Amino acid sequence: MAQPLVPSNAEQFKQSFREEAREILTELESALLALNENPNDSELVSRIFRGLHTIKGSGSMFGFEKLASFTHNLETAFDEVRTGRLEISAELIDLTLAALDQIRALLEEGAAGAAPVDPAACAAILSSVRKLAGIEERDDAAKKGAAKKDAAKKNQPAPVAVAAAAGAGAVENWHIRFVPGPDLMRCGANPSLLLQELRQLGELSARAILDAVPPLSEIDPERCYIWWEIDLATGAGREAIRDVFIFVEDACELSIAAAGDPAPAAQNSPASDAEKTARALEDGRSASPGRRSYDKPEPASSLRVPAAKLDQFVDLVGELVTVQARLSELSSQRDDAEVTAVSEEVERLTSALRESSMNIRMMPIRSTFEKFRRLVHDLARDLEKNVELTIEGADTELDKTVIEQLGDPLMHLIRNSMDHGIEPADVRAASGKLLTATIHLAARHSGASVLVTVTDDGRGIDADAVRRRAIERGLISVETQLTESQVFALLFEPGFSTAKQVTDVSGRGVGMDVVRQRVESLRGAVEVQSQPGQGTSVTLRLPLTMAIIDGLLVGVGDACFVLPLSITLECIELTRQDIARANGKHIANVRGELVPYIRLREHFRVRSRAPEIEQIMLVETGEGRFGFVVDQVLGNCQTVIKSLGRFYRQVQVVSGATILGNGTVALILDPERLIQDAMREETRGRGGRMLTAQGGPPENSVDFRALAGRGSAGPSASAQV
Amino acid sequence: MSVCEITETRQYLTFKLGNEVFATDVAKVREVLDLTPITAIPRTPDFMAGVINLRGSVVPVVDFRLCFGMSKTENTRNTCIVVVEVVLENESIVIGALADSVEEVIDLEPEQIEPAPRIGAHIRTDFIRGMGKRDTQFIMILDIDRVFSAEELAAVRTQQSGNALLEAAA
Repeated sequence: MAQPLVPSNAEQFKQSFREEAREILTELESALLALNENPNDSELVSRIFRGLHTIKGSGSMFGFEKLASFTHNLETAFDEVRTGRLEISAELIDLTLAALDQIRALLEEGAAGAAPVDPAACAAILSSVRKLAGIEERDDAAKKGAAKKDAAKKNQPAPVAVAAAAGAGAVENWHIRFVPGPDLMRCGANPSLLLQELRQLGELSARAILDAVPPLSEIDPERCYIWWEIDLATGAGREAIRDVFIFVEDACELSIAAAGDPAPAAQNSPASDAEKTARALEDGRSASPGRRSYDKPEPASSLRVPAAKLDQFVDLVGELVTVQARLSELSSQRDDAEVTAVSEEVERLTSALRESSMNIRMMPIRSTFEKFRRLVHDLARDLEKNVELTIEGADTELDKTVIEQLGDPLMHLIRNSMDHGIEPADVRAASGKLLTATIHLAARHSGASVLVTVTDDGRGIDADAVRRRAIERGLISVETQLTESQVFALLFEPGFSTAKQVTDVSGRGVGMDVVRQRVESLRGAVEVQSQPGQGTSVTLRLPLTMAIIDGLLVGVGDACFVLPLSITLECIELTRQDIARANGKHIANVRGELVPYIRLREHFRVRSRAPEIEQIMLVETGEGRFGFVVDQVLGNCQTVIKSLGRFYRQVQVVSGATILGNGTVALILDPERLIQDAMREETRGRGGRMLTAQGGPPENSVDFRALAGRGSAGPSASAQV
Repeated sequence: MSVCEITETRQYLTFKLGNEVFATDVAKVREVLDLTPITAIPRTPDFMAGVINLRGSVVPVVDFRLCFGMSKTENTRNTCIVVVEVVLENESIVIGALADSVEEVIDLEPEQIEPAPRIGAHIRTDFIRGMGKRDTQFIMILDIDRVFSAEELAAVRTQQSGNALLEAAA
């Protein structure tokens, strides 16, 4: 069978999992050794447990089934330790270390040149671990089942094409034509895995058609140029065959025909395309529009660069921009044509350099999102639930490091939703919900943050149950009064789980702990919203430590601020008369629509005199439409977002800073936070500042929420963790 | 850290706030800048003067005089920003501090340094590692990590929270 020349995406994911797992294993090893010295250190036990949990979770996600089930037993042992039912002994530590070696071997299994795994050693370690941990027979039974499956797998035909030979019963012969689309491998699918899956259905003979493979110099390694003609003898039926391709159906041409069926229409069949392709290759240009992208030379090479080097690079560019601005200023004073020409050239180059340097670190979140399709699919099968994963905003660009750190928290959130959030089908039917549950992954920019949301339409979180559980676990006392948001925050406490039983998927309460840790290490926040019966939505608010936004530079007094351009709608004038006409209410009439506004001048207590005509920047936020009143609008700017750092982390309305061309620092405003802040101030009605000019009977004050319209979308709790 | 931990000759950078001479361990000082434009951050306490552009990175600046209960720093020709590296919650961060003027770098022997007086100094004694004596002059040696430690900042913050807001970048 023909193999792609380069590793596919799935293989890349596996590779990155291997890398990650190796790191975790090293960490685990040192933690274990430290534990040997201090057997009572519960922090170490938690660390080991978390590490094992992650290996298990990611492992099963990337198809390392054996590794996951092996690690599961170890994890269970450490759960016993964690809850105090098992004591740390030298024996346990030795055993665990040996087990880590096996995990390492399992990890490398299949990689080229790896030592084979010794199943006997694995089994010996497992049985000792289980004896030590006192894991009951229920697991043993499961293990036997798994062993049988393994055995069954071994008996399957060796991975060579086998001529179809009809077996017993209702075995039919199928002819399958599988033509991967150009984007198949980009979505993370691996054709060879699909073929292997197909082989499990019956006797299979596959022929790879290599006609469309371009010369080596033109090959895009992320593209699949090969297609297959497959003969399959199976009793499984058409549906089962189609199921194999379920994830790639949109990304490929697929025809499945019973052996007797007439061949599919010729003009659609790539077989007849072979000639065309040959012609296309001959003249080096595309012949048919459908093939055009194949022949377009596309530089797809990439190289790895340490992120720190990029940071340094971007900083240097920032300095260059500052110096260039000074040069421009000097040259305009000199009035020397030659100097001016050079200065202009430098300016042009600098801005181009700036733009490309800022783009380097950004990448779309798509790949992270897409790899969860497999997880959802597999979990849905294991849990016998019907779940569909929908994705929104996959093109949202985020800093690379942030994207890399997101995988784990999202995995835990999705597992939690699948296991606890989404009800079994019969319960869903009884409560009149769609049988197929939905998990929605979304990403969007909000100011200088990116909001990544995992939403399910499951049963929601029962705040009372969380509270009871917290009392049981001794996290809070019976008398403690908590708001709903505080209750949801408890979900992120280490070792907290409301699940009644520990399953393979989740329920040990370790996941949410990891989520919070990871997100906090990115200086983000987690917010939980839930309505019983309606579902749960967990929002990760991630700062863009190093990102670019298109901003709108505005001036208030002598200060400059940047508003994210993506949410600004338009700019209208606000005159003194307008203010007087509105009786001091902070509402503007925009073509008949009432829009509440916030005067930044007042909100920021700027003391200088306001100009005659101010500008209202209209923005569209999650809370509705609002205006920000500024002195003047200075223009567009592309901004490198710099964090304000720990020192100013309490400042919420400012999400970052940027350095302007003239070398001064401008602050990037977070419109949503700003509005929330103004609303809070409004509610408090402190000093009547936002009230009317006449001293303000309350009915004259502006109810931002009601005006904004969308803010009234039902009660929701948000837990700031 | 207290005076008893000062056991060797060290170099100190001295600077003035009003008429008082202060000093900090030279090892903590990264550089001294002329006054550059400071961007104020809205809705923060007065003593947090804002941020500056230090060769491409955004560095917070505090008004030392306000930290120590004096009036706001006036901008003069001698006003400087002393950029120090402090440890805040186990993380090293760079902070600028406004000083009326920067004087010199001096050597002080341990025997030239006395414990901070319990009363009499105008500033909180726990910010002071010791009093250096030089000729007839007293120099207050600051425990710079302490001044910027989170609790201390929080304390100053609450103190000032009532009136603590942007003084119009004007």
